[in-house]
Amino acid sequence: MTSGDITDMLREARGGTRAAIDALMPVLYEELRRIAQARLAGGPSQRSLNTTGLVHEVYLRLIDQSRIEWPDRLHFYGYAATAMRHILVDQARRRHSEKRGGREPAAIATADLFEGDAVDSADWIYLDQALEHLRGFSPRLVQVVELRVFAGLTAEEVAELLDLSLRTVRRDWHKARLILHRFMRPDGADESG
Amino acid sequence: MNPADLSYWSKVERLLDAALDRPHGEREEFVRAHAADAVVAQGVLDLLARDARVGDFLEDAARCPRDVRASDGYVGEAAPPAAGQTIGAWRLLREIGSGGMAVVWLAERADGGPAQQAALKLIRNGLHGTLLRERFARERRILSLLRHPRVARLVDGGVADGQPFLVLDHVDGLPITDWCARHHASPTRRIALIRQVCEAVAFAHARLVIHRDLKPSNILVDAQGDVHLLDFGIAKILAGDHSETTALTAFGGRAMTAAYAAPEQVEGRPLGVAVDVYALGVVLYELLTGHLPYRVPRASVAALEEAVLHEEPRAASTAVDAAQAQQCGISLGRLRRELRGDLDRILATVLDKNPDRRYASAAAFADDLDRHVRGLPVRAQRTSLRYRTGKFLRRHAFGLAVAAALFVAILAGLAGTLWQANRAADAAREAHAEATAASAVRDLLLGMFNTSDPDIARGRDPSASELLDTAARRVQAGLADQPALKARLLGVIADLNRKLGNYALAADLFGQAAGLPAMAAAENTEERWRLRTGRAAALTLAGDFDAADAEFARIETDPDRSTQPSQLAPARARMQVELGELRRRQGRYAEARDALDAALAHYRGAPDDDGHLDALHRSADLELNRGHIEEAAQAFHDLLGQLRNRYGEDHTEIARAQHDYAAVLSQLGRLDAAEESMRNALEMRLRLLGEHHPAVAESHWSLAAMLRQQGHFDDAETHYRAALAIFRDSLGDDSAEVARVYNGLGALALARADYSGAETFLSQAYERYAKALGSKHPEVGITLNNIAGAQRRLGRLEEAEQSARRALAVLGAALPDGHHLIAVARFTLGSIVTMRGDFGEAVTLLEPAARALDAALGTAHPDVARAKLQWALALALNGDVAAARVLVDSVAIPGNDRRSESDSLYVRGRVRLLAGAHRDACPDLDRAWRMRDQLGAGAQDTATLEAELYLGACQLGSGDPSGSRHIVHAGRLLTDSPVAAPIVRRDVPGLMRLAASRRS
Repeated sequence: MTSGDITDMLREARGGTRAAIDALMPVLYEELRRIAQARLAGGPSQRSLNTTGLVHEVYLRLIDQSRIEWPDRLHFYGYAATAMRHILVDQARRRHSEKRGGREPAAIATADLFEGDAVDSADWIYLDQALEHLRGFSPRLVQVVELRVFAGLTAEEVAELLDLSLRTVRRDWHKARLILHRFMRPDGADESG
Repeated sequence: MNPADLSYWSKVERLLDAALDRPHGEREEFVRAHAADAVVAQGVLDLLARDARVGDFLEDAARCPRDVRASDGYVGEAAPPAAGQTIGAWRLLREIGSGGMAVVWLAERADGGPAQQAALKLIRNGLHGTLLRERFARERRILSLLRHPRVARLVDGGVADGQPFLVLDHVDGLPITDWCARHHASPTRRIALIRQVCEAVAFAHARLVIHRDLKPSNILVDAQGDVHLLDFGIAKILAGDHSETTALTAFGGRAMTAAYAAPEQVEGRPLGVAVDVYALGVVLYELLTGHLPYRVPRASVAALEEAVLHEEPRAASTAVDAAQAQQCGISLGRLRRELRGDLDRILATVLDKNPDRRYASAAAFADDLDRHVRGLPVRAQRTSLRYRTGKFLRRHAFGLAVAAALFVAILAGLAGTLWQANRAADAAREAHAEATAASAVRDLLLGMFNTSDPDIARGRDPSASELLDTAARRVQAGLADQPALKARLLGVIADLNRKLGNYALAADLFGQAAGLPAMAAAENTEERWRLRTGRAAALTLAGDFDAADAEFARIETDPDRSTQPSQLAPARARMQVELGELRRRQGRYAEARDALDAALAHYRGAPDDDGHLDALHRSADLELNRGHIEEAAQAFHDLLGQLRNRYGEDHTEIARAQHDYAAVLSQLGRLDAAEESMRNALEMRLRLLGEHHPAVAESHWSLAAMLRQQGHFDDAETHYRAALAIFRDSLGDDSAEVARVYNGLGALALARADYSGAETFLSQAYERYAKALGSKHPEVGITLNNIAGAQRRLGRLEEAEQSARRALAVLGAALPDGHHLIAVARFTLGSIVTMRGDFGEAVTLLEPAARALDAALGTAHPDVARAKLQWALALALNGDVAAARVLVDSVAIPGNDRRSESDSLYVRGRVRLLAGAHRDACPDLDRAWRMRDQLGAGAQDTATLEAELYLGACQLGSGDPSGSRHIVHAGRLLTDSPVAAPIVRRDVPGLMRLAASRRS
């Protein structure tokens, strides 16, 4: 698939064409994972890759820079955040089962990929579940969290993407952190340690 | 999640939202009072209790990757920058600073260019980096115009090997806070530094550049004690053109920056110059008191932001302590006394939460500081309770110095020529006249500065207009024994008023001068002609064409028999140039041409006359109006060369020629060159005329039109609004110029697909045009044409057709045959008539329209392609399918903007479909549908549905059954749509039946 195709797809997805969104997600997912694996094979200096770096690199590879428009860019990060979330959760599940002495590691292990990230593998799974709970009553909070955590967007960029005021996004982020904390740490454990 | 949980959590989230708005101490009580039940209350309180405990939960996940990766660049190049490394055309020398956003290096040119050291910023933020290049390209032209000794220039920038960087003038200095501390600067010295800063900030604001991130580390003071502002406009590049937010994001640097952010910045609302004024206030507060206006318990961004939004700063005089007094080199008691009163009030005004109540500009802030230092009453004192209208303060911009310089220069020259005029008189009389003239001028100047005018005596510097008013009153009241001198002085004052844009006043003063009894004498004929011509020209500029006509008629019938015709030839040529201008503005182009040709014939014998270049300029203007665009472009290009030979680089005439040249380039579709020329014209006019001059507004307006055509809608609107404000203030709300801006805003709304907004703006334009110019003026026709376009898009076809017919009638009568604007009106009407279903008439309108546009604009112009496609559609619908097919295949689809591209694809697809060429038609319609879907005003947008309908028809026709779905979907919605074109609605039932039959 050429960068031109992806760019077209992105434009169509913005127009709300369901088929285009459906077509885009697996492409993004595959591309993110492919680059992740290529990086891992590339030696130690290239190993420590993280979510933002990945999303960004996929963006550079997939998108025809001369044709992309600003809203499409932002939408790209929206889709990429969702794809990134799937990748991290899938990988965390695999690691989790490996730790528990399950099957052999996959042929190309992605285990070390996200070492730099602050959430450990079990947390990605809990976060994923907590986000699904949250989606039940406030899908917008989920969007804000996905964009900030998985695509590494700043609050300002999220505000622009979702067409919300900066204040609203900051408030959403604040609320989401409190609620997700409650879901993931029902006992109210301190984070300061 | 089950429904009961869902309901519980929805309630919890809503109440949490409201509770977070309350101060910490009141939250619990608030929650208990407002919760639906105790369980919900407990849930919210549990979450609120977590506020103190969540720490960095998720924050680190959101931020960590950036922080970790950003410093070494994630695209492979892991090595941190090192001395000797080259970035773009620059070699790094040594690191000189580091902040949240960037690492700053001293660098030198490494590409063999002129040796130069500069500060090179390596931008840390990865995501921003990819977007930086285009933002940089967009902003750099604007920033390159910020040439001010106190503003560090943006020298270069871009992305080298994936690393975004910016290069700025290197300033060797200390942050203003450190400098003051090191030098134990007195409060007065500190205020003086802030006033220097204000001056530079005001300079940038006049060029529509906001700093957005002013703080001590961006305000350096050098060894000479001069301030330098860094990073002007950089925040916008880093934050992005589209989000009007600031670059508050950089982690690490964030808390510091938030300290200088205005409330509207914290809230993420649109920003204006007021954010810079506010930041200057914070810096001054910090310089005077030694700390920030808000005392927050810990270094927390959230607490600081809350304080910025809700907390009133402590009065500076009570916020100082002994340590600060020592810093300032005075006793604490004295420091308190110095701050109490005026400075407390000034700081309260500049730090007002409401941007409308702050000082309206950095200049106004500086002015009040100046008044405080000089011991005059400050304005903050009297007006802090009153809403400031920026207008009152903005009048300042044109200062005393400019006016005085103008006046001294002109009056000194005048005194010299006065006695030469009286050469026939004997020496004694000559000496006497000289003495009288000199003393009259002296008295006048003294009087201007020693005025008892209460408006000026209020203590602020009088503006140039006010000085002229005073001068005019003194001349009018005195000089009874010097009628010739009186007439000349009034003429000079009138001319200055014309230059300042006070056209009605200028006309009045010219009239007074010409009407003085002494002017009726035969020896004053030439002077009388000049004054009357001046009056007619001023009336023309003021838009009072009837009065101007009457004035020209008076000159033509001037009962002069004694003077030799040859002596009057220069004055007559002047008059003819101005008459040509009036005729041009009236739209009477043939008469305008005659008048200008007569004047040019005279100047051929006197090529060095100042009037010659002016006549050439007006002549080029006229060719433009007559639609002779290439000729006009050449004429302006030549004229610019001649003007530069005569005046050098900086002159209002050059600015004018550059402005007009840009307008022509834009008509020729050379938009980049046009934009550059227009920005130069705007910059020169701002520099020479100040920011409130109508000529500045004219350049704002034209630049806006170009930006609109290039699709930069937000920037276009900014410049339109700037033009509107100036024209309203200077020429009145009902002037033709205000109408012109409304017309532009209407066109902008059309381009944004905001059709009802467009109709509103265009109606505003139409009313004013009809009143100011009469209902037969070409501008009225153009506006009607645009109104027709809006009405067509709104589905009001009958009204649209009426408007289009009126437009065509007005333009046809006002403009010469073959003018491209007539063709545009025919095109609009032809499109509407096609939609109505009268294809025969449509062809008779569209064919000549397409041919005339082709002849006037050249085949490559996008409007020509659109006209030809529309013509082909009418032909095809009228049954001449073969000719239509040939025509569409000969046209290149215009790619200048996506709307006309999608429209053109749609029309071509329709024609190809009518011609039975499904293989070609389907891709056109498919693309048109998808593009319109993205552009469109929602799923029910008629244009999108029409494209979908015919796409479905095309697919069915080529054997693809999926077309049925499209037809049914679009057909249903179009049947119900009040704005669908009759010809489309007519096709719907048949296509629906076809779709149904293919389905079964």
